[in-house]
Amino acid sequence: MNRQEGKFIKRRDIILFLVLIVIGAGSFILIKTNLKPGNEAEVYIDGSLVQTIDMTKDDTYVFDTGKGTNTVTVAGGEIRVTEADCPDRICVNMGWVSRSGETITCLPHKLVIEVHNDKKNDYDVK
Amino acid sequence: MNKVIRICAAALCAAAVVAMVIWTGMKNRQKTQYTRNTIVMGTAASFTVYGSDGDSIIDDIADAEETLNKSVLSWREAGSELAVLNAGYKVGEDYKVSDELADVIGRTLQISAAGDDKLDITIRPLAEVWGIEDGRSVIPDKADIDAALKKVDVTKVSVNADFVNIADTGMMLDLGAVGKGYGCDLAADYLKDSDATGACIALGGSIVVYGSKPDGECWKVGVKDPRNSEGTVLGTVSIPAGETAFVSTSGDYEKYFMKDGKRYHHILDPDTGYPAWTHTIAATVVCDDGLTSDALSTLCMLLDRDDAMELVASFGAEAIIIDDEKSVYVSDGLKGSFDMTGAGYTIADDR
Repeated sequence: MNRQEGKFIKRRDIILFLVLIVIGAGSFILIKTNLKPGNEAEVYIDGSLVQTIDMTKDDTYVFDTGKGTNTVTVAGGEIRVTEADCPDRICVNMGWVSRSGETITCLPHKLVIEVHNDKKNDYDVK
Repeated sequence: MNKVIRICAAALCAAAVVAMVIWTGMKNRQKTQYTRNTIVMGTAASFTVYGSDGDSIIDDIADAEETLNKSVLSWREAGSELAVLNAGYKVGEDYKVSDELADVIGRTLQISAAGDDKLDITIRPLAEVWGIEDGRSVIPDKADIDAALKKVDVTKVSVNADFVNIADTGMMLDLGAVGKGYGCDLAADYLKDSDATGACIALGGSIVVYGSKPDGECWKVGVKDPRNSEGTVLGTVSIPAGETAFVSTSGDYEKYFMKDGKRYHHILDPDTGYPAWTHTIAATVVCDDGLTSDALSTLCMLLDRDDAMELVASFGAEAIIIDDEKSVYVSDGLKGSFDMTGAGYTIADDR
C-alpha cells in the first residue's frame, strides 16, 4: 500500500464513500422491493396463499381446493370466478372485481381472492 | 490529530445515518397498515389494523372469534356450548351456562321482546325446512312449514342469571342473527387493550370501526347496493375518527332464490313461516354495541319500516332502510353523515 500523504482525498476516504454508497443503494432496493407490486390478485385456500396472479395478463386458472373446484379468469385487468361446483355459487355471482382490497370469497371451498393494486376505493370497509 | 478527527467524523456520519433509519422506521411503523381477508366464524371477514403490532393483533382477534364461534355460540359446531345445550336441556328446567352465553342469549331475548318477538332465536326448525342457507331453492309444503312452526316460539325461552330455561321439547337455539355483531364487540375489546391506533373489521354483515386512520379522516363505511350482485356501494356513512362504532347490515340479497318473480330470502318471519316481505330490501343499523346493531338490522327486515325506525331510535341507534322501490330512508342522526353516490336510488324525504 502506498502512503498517500498530502493528497486531499485519501484511499481510506474513497473506501468509506463506496461503503456508504453500497449501504444507501442496498437500503433503497430493499425498500422498493417491499412495496406492494403493481397489479396482482392473491388466492388463499383455507388461509394459505396458494397463488399470486398477475392481473395484467388475461388467463384462466383452475383451483382444486380439496372441497371442490373454482375456475378463475383474468380479463382486461379484472378477475372473477367463472365456474364453481359449490352448492350456492355465490362466488360466481360476485362478478368482476378489480380494485385494491376487493375480494371474492367461496365459503364452502374456503377460497379467498384478494386484489392488490393502486386503485383506491371511496370507502374504507363495506 | 488528523487521523483522530477523520475517524470521529466518519463515526458521527455513520451514527447519524443509523439514527435516521431508526427514526424513520419508528415513524413508519405507527402508520403501518395491516390488512387481511380471510374466513372467520364461517363467513368472509376483512381486518384492517393500524399500528405496529397489526399483524399479531389480527391473529389474536381472528383466533378469539373462531374460538368464540366453535366453543360457545355456533349451533353447527358439535362441541359448542350452544350445541350441547340444544342437545341436552330438559323441558322447563334451568340449564346452567357460562356468563358469556347467558349474556348473549339474555340480551338477544330483550331486544326480541322489544321487537314484537320477531327476532326468533328458536327459528332453526323453520330454517331447516326452507334450507335457503344451504342453497335449496324449493318452496316447502305448507304442512312442513306448519309442523316446523310448532317448535318455533321465542317466548318459550328465558334467561335468569346464568340459567337458560326452555319450556318446550325439541327446540333449537340459533344465535346466527347476533353472532357476528357480538364477534365485533369482542374485536373492539381486544383493540382497546392493544397498541392499535385504529382499525376497521368486517365480519360478514357486521362492521366495527375503532380509533383513527393515520390521515385522521373519518371512517367511510360503504352501504352495499342490494340489487347489484357485485357488491358495489350505493353510499357511505361517515363516522368521526376516534369513535368506536358498530354497523350491521341485513338484506334480502345475501341468500335467496327467485320463483315466479318473488324473492324467497333467508330472513324468515316466525309468525308466517315465510320470508319477511315488508317491502324493506335492506337495512343498515349504526349503534354503539355490536350485538345490538346485528339484532336490530335483522329486526328492520322483519318489521314494517315505521315500527323498525321507532325501535332503532329506542335503542339510541340510527338506521338506513331501503325499500323495494329503491327509496332510501335515513334516520335523523345519520342525515348529515350519509352520502349517496350510487345511481337508481333516491333519498326519501318523509319517514
